[in-house]
Amino acid sequence: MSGAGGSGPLIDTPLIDTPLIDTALIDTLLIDTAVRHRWADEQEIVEFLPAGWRDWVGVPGSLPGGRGARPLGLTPLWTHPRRAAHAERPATVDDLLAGAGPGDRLVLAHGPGLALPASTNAYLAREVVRAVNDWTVQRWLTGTDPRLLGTVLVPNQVPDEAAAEIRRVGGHPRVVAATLGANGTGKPFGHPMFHPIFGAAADLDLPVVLTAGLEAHPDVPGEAAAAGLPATHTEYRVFSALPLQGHLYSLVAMGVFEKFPTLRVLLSGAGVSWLSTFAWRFEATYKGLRKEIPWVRRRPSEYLARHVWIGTDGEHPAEPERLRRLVAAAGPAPDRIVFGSGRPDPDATAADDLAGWMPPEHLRGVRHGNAADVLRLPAADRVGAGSTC
Amino acid sequence: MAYSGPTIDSDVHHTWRSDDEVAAYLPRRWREYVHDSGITLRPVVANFAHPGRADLRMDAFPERGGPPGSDYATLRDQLLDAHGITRAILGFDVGHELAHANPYFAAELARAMNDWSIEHWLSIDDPRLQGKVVVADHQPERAAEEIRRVGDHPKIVEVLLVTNGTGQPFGHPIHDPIHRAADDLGLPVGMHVAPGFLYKNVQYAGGMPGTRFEYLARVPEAHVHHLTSLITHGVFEKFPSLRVMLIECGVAWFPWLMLALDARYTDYRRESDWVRRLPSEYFREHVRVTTQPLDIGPERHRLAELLDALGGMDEILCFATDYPHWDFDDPMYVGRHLPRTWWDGVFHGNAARFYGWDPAALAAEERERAARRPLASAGRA
Repeated sequence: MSGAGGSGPLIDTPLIDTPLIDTALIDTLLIDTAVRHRWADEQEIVEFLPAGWRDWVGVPGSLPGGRGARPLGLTPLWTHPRRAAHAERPATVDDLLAGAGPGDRLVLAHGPGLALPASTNAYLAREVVRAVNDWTVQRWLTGTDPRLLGTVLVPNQVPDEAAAEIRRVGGHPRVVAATLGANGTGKPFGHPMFHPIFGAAADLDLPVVLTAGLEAHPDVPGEAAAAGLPATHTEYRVFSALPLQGHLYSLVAMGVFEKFPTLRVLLSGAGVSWLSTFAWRFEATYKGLRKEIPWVRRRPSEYLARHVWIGTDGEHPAEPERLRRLVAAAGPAPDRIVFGSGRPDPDATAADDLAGWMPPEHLRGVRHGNAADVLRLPAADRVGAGSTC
Repeated sequence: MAYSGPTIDSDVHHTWRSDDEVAAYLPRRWREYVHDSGITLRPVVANFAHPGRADLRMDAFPERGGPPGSDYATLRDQLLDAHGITRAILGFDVGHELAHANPYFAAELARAMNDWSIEHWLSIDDPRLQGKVVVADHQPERAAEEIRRVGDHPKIVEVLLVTNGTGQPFGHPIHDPIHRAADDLGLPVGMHVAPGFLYKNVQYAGGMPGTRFEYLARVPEAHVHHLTSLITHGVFEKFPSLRVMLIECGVAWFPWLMLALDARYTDYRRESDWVRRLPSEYFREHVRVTTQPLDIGPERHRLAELLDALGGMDEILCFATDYPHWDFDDPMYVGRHLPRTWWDGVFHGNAARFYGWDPAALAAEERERAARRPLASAGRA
């Protein structure tokens, strides 16, 4: 494996131009910002580790009873109650692209890999995350269909190394975002220790993706919920908005958006309807407490409007009319909502459901235009002219 | 035109003039502990202290000394008379001291606080003052004993839970003795909680924030979990007449939570098949929510529009001021942000039904009091 642990530039395959498409197809274009790509076998990742770390992890089956290797992936505390019945097969490129239109984009935003940055061994976390990035680039983004885009996973425990990894991988032409993954430190992401990460992302003009739900892993130090552990996967999934909220508020309170005025943040995995219903209180609290945070020069709502996008993955529009009314009254603003499916998870959000709660005039933006904005992709109405990412 | 009917304030904070005032109700052994250790019974976590410690109405310091909320005459003038409050439910300030890591001390302190509240406040000849029995939940059986000890006092109308010393949400079966005792006495359970406040026995999702700004903005998180856990663990199936008041946790997030839980009901039941009804149905039947601090959107009409996405919130919200805290809401302010058709329910009807009071009697009492009040002090909303 040529990419194993190397520090040189990654292989950069010239992109094939997207075929010309009929402009009438613009309404059906789709950018999926939350495709959870995964490995069929952990050996796929192990092969990208440096030799010493490969030895450290071990070889499955080299000891009696199938033993011999340490697992890389972390086990969640809760799993979906229908997980076994759901075919959660490791998706292949072909699986993912089945049904995708010629101008669509699929952003590989990591599945099981999301937990790896929080491994309690920070050195292992760094190496495994690098391996996942090399695997993503070589297996998924090199010589494959140009509709696949990637995100660089960030080993966030040691932020200087994290920034270096963003700079190492983030320049790849098909890498469109930096995914922080599970927080390995127990400190919210606004803490100044993390600022080199945001600096690197801003330098490379990559949005930073905060993903909900990673506190379900015992190795992740942050709490999954206030007031104790939830008992069920359902609670855990619904509450996963709250750590996300904590990280977002931390970014505002610690002045990250003042320090990096071009930074873009994409919130992913908890749906959209939680954000503004809590953010009103955030706004009101700012009015009373701005004295405490003089470096926060704008109202929280201004930072949210300038810097934050939010994905539909995790939103369950079982009562679309109620959801429509909620979003109409409280937001988020329709031009900040981007489609994300979360597939192949059992809870994946379907693009076809958007029309049930998103007014028609905003559908095009949510399906692709807003994602093109935050990911700096060519605007969809120019795709037909033959340009590509 | 402002609202002019009776008003029930479901979140008022009363406190002791000095620690000695409440420590006097501790057994000698714990009184000496307080004295000898120098422990404060009004703890503050420095990390989340308000700038200038100005987290109280600065006009509410009584002339005779002591902190805001420690003097009846001041509270009567500034709250009850000034705003035409017909019933004020006194809820301590706010009981976070019961998060103490020593569960035996916490239980004795709760007992002392209840005795203090009854003697210093509920004995005052003013029907407007009503009280709560506060408990430390570390030992739920002991908390239940405390509820049974004082819960039948005619002016005690609610059980108050503030901290979760067990580290488990309030729906967890470890808390059943508390719910059972409340239910037996016909008392609702009030929850006035915060994540990550004292003594590290509660947490923030995702990690500890750095500022009071984040701390206050994230107060609802613990309520999200406590409320959901009551449903998940089937507390309302076990205690079908139990009622719960969620206090000072905001109002805007309930549509999000209820729609999200209802949407996942099929999967939810696979994990908790004793949850026989939609989560929102339990919420509507068993739970009421205080208004302060009222969440307001960028425009005045947005709050009602948001709440209407769930529907029925006009029968759930109960007015509260949070006197004498800095973010006090007065009735006029709350009225301005809610439809007029909601006023009767929010200002008194919902809480009257919740606490078992006759709205007509409250209205008559308030009219009579207003007639007696000198015009000069009739500065009510």
